[in-house]
Amino acid sequence: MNQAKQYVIAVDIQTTSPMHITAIEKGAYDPATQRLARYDGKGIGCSLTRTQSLAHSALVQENGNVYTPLVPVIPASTIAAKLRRAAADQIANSLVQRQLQISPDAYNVLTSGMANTELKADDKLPEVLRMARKDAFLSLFGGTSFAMSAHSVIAEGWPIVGSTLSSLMTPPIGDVQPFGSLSEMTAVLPIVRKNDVADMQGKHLQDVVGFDNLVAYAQTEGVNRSESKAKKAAKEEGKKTDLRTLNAVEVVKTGVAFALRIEVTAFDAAQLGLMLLAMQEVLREGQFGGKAARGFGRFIATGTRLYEVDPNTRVKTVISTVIEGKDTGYAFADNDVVNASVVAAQDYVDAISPQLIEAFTRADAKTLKQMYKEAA
Amino acid sequence: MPPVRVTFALRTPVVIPYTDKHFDALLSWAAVQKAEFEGHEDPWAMQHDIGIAKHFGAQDWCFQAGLVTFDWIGERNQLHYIKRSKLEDYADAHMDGLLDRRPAFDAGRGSTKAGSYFAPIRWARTATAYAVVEDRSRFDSLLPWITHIGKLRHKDYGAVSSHSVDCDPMALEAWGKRNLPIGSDKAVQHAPSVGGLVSPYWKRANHTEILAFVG
Repeated sequence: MNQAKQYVIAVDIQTTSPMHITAIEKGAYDPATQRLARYDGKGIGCSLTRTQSLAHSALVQENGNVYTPLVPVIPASTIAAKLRRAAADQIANSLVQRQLQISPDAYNVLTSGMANTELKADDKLPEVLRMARKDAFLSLFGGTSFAMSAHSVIAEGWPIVGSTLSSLMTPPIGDVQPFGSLSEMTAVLPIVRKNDVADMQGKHLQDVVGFDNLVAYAQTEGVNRSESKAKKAAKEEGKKTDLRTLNAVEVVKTGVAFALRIEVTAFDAAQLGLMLLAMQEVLREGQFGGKAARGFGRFIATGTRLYEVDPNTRVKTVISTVIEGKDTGYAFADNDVVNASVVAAQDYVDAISPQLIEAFTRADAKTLKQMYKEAA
Repeated sequence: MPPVRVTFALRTPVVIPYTDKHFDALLSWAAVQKAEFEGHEDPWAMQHDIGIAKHFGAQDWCFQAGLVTFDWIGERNQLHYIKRSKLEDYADAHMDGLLDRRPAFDAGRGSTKAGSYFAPIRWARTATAYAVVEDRSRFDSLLPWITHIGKLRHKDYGAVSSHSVDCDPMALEAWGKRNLPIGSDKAVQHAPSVGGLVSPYWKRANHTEILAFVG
């Protein structure tokens, strides 16, 4: 019987530009008072970043009100999607280099894990489970029409502050930041959409658009605006006529540290290695969240660590640093466990068979059972 | 056979279970995880080897393990997450020659359908359960494997930071607050219903006539 191993990959990161991960709730920002309401209230619309409440850190204030602190987070689903895609890219690159092809459905299963047919959880024969356990990618990320469970736990990215320490899978690698409240970690930025034609801006506007066209545009805009105003005065619904808008966006400030923590149950070395390759790629990309084109969401890793977990006691032992700093291009640390895992993962990626991916995509238990017999 | 109270301290918010959570279900899950980790040929075969005493009714049986109760704190929140495929990825894969046919992409239906999901979450200080233990060594060996309680384990929700086991005579009665087999002499605040008596509780095929705890 092969004994599996459990590891925790710990990476501390720090934002190097404002970061925004859109929450479903909408807020309102009042520029006059500079107050942000986390509901649709007075002021301009504000897109909120994702937060979590910390009920265990709730404080009862002098006036008897209970204050439940909020902290910004990087959602586990955001981190997991990046890692899955990075691991899937490794496989895709290998297949392209070997001039092998897969179906679009199989590609979808790799990148998102979504079911391609109706769920067939009852077809999870022991042989199918063993095949999935042997395959590094499926074992780590799960999914498919078999509804495979993932043998990795990808935690919410909590900020590294005093009130979140008890929520981290492993302790911070660097210093705990002194931030106490959400407003110390976040800021509100205006997002202005301009209309250069209406504003008559631009050096070559008249040459490109033409004087007559500009006059016609201004007249139409004027009519539209007065109609809209009249409708508004009559309390009717009017069309939005002004393309210029002022909105606000809540962002995590530059310099806030977050803890990325991933537990991996590895049935062979390639499984830890594939997660390390994916993490290296995510660090090299160095971006989380929306508005990437504006340069939002950039970060750097400030410390990494690999732990081995004893599953019978839950004691975590530090093995080594796992990925070196940005100045090395996030090279892997020189350590026996890390080296062996990465080499095994590269061998796995170089040899992965499209037939296996297709069989899991089609939820073809019969073929998988046959493949398991042949492999055994 | 010692009656015990097990208390789990929790590290992260719990996804609020929409059905009662039986303690033996957690132990069964732990037994499967442990067996899989140790390379067992058929881990599912180990799911009822959990070291808990059995209780027999007229025809069926259940484990002497009660429902898990939570010491909730704070308000209920909604965790929101989305699932989506990226059109650009498909275009790139097609251009690279990876795909064996031209892909069809529809975010509204099929395998590339995008979705918006909610899960109700809430902080809990602890989760507590009562049981009557038959094989203490096996029981103790499984407890560290209960690493998470509730859904979204793979996102680290309901993470257990530590557990403690105390001998508690109250467990001799408290374990009965669970689904019981028809004809059970332990039924006090129970009503006839349909449900599971042993794991997997979610599997409809296992559901039978039971006495459900309604207290």
